[in-house]
Amino acid sequence: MRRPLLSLCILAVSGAAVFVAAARVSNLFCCQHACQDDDELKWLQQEFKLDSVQLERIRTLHEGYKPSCRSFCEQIDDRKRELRSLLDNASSVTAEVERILAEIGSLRAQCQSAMLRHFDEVSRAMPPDEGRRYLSEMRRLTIESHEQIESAMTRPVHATHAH
Amino acid sequence: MKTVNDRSGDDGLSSLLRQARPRPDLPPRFQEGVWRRLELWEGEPSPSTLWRAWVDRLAASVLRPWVLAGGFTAVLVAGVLVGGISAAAQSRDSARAAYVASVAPDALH
Repeated sequence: MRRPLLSLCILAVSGAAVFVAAARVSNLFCCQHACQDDDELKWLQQEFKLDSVQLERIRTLHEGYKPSCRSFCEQIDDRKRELRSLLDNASSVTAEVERILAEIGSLRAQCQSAMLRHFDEVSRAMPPDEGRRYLSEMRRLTIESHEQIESAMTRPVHATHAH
Repeated sequence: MKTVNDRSGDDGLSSLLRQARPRPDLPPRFQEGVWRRLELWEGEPSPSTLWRAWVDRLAASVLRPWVLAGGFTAVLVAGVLVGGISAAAQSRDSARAAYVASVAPDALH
């Protein structure tokens, strides 16, 4: 009785070990080939089934959008640095702090508007159905992710303790 | 110590006792019923016997060279497939994150 049971147990453990080892090796091997692609537009091409002409059109739009995006980011980062140094030296929220917060808000709004306009342009360079899917996906990944954070913040306190 | 005469006295006493306590009549086909119940009891193996037999049967059918080779190959192929599928999903997620980071930078958060 004991020996067949022991053999079956050893067999099951060996099988599990072989499965895990094969999965890990295969995952590492595939990732070395697939995960290290530097092209930022690779996902667009695969997900929205773009042909080379559409991809090149979108690449042009993408490269045109990046400098303005970078410029907004640099301005926001500058204002954030200013805000940090003001907050380090001030014990209360001064008028200057409020002014910089408003500037950061305004810059973020401009940056988001530019981003949404870019999404619109990119979606028009895609086949109509894929363009609509791209727009909804990008809104979900960018603007709506902020909405989720905000709605989580505005949820009543007792609701967070409901569970 | 008892003698032979004493034992003959015991036999007499036993026969007297048997007569004083009459044996009741057995129900009809009593013996047949007893044998049937014994047969039924012998025919139902205990759970431990069943489990042992099942393990033995399983071991005998699994521990054969061609079954082991087939099982090893199946497990290996399944592992490679699962690893490949999860790598494809990882690759897709990292490509999407790279694109989103390039158009919606962290400064917005």
